[in-house]
Amino acid sequence: MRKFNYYTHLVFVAIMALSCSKMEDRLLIDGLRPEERIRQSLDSLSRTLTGSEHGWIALLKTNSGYCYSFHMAFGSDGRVGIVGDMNEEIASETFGSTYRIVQGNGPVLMFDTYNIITLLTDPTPDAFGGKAGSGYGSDIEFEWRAIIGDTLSFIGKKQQVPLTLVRATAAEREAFTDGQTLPNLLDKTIGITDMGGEFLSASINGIPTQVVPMPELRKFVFAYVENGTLVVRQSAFYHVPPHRVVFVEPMVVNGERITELVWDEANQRFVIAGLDIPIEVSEQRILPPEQSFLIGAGRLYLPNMERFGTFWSDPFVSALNNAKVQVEAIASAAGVPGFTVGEIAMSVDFGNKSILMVCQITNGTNSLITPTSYRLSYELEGNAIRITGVQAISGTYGSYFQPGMRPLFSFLMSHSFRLEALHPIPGFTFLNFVSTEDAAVFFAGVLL
Amino acid sequence: MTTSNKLVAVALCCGLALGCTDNNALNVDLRDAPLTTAGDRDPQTSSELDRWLDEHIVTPYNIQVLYRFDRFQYEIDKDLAPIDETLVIPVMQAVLDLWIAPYEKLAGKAFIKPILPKQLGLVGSPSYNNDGTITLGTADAGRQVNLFELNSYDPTDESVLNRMFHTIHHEFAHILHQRVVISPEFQKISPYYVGGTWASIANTAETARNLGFASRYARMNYHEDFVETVAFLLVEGQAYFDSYVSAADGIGQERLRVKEQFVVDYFKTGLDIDFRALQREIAETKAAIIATGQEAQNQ
Repeated sequence: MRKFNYYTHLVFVAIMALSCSKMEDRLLIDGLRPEERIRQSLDSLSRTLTGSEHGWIALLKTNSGYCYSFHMAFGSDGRVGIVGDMNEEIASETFGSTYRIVQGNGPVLMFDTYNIITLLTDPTPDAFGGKAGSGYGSDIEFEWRAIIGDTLSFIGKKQQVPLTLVRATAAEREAFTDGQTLPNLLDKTIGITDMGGEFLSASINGIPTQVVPMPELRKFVFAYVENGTLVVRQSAFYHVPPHRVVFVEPMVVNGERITELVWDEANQRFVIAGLDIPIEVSEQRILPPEQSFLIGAGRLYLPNMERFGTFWSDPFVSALNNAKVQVEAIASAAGVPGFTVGEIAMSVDFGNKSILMVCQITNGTNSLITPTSYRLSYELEGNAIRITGVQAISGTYGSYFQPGMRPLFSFLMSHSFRLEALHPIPGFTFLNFVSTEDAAVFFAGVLL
Repeated sequence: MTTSNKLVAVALCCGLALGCTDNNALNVDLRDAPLTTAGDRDPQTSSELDRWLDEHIVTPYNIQVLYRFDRFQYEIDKDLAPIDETLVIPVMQAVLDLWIAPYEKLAGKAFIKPILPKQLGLVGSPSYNNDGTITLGTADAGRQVNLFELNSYDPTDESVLNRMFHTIHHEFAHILHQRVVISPEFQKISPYYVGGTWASIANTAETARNLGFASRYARMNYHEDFVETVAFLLVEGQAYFDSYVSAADGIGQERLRVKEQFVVDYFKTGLDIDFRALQREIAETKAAIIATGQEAQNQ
């Protein structure tokens, strides 16, 4: 037994000695230690990012559904310059910040000081809108997943949003830094920012189709009537300056699959890529005014008046004037006496089933610069629309004046309204909201 | 132990010693292969900003300023935005002037240096909580203080300075009471603590004031009560505190004044600091910062 123990101990010692020896040459992958391989992959991403002569086009899809495109130029000094098409004011401005490439589950590209990418994650609505606490549902740390040709794919670490980097050309870089945004292109066709009363349309397989660009909502709508029914297709888009609009979800219109619009510089218009169908400008809507309004292809303006002729019923005038009195009291208490509700604009966000209501707060001469805005949720009841809720839009004076606006909101929410088009003046279309419960309750506005 | 067993034990030790011998370098030198592209001073690069921080913060006070975002320094489930680089120096200069320098002047370097947090996290946005409140600052065991909402920093706006430095002095007062405990008598002054439900609508600002609390949040527990009283007296200042007290009802006024005196005594007996002089120092510096900021804005 003692002899047996002795040999057992010797075997044990031999195993211990062998197990502790490091035979790493056989265990290493490609002859490299783990930290060397990590270093290699970080260097590889770093070299790729800094090695693009004209930088990168970056496409980012946030979880709120909004898509943005940027131009990024990465320096070997750990700094990046970014230009984005997020809005007109900052379209050509380059924002610099630091960046790092760190090790996570793989190389992670991290924008670690403030820039316009981090603006989308900012949980403060005052920064750039978005939801309080979560912003637009975006990321600032992106894990590198793949490289295919000139394209790098990343996935956000927290919100899992996709970021795609495509090697830019000199022309693309210039288009970004020149601020060639989508609204600039649209201005060349329909003067969308001036509300010029012009519309875009295309004939797709012989079916007249209304094309509605919504740069503020970062989406396009295609709408047409098929067998008497309104068909609406919509998609978020990436604008890739200078001349491409790429749809995130391909839109199938009358059997045709539409994935991209291309700007035709010679004719100053968009063309549907692959189909060679031009987007034409017309002064007439293809869809009836009521349907145009419901898909967001028109804004309703209520003028700044005590009574809009015979187009506003007494109950509406009473509700609006009560709101005006109460808003004036709130403004006075805030040190701006004489300011109250002026012009009101309403437009439909079809995808979110809501109406964006922007109220001007004015003393007749001047206006508060930041608008007072609300999102009115609605339900369609047959041919009628019913407002079901009101939410103040953060970053505006909405919540501040909401108690004063209550009489108007109560009026809107206490009826179901049928929409009817009126043509009281040649060249103008009015849209009349008539209560389905009481025809003596109505209000109309000008549809632009 | 028998001879054979002794031999086995010796052999075992030799085997272990030999087995662990490694003729090769155990690892690569991480200074040559840092796991980030930010250089060997991870996480910071050697920019002008870093050199300023080295000179004014790191070397004299041994505080690392974490201005480059690192999610693992904060609550991991929160959506946050990093600080704007251009604000780092103005913010840190104000931190020196309105926090560190007044304590250093009145209590000396030997007092302040060991108790300053070793890391200061700077975040651009506030940190939103599920109950609708926002967090403006956190302190972890006195080692790290994180400051939020710094992208709103504006040296010309007193309310912005008050909000930011209220947070800092609030968090620093936590560090102080972890060194010198608050007498249990303090919690008896107005023992109406409600814990995590302080944010409920039942706890209005008026209710808190009339119960003798410096803010709604002060009703969380007696630690928060103490540090809120300190922060209001130091940052918003005596005039603000007097006006706040005069708006309370009779018993509320009495309790707030007892707490004020408690704080003054705590600083004198516990820390050997003249609290009134500290208040004056901070008030004068704040006025100077606002005046300089407004002058710069007008130019």
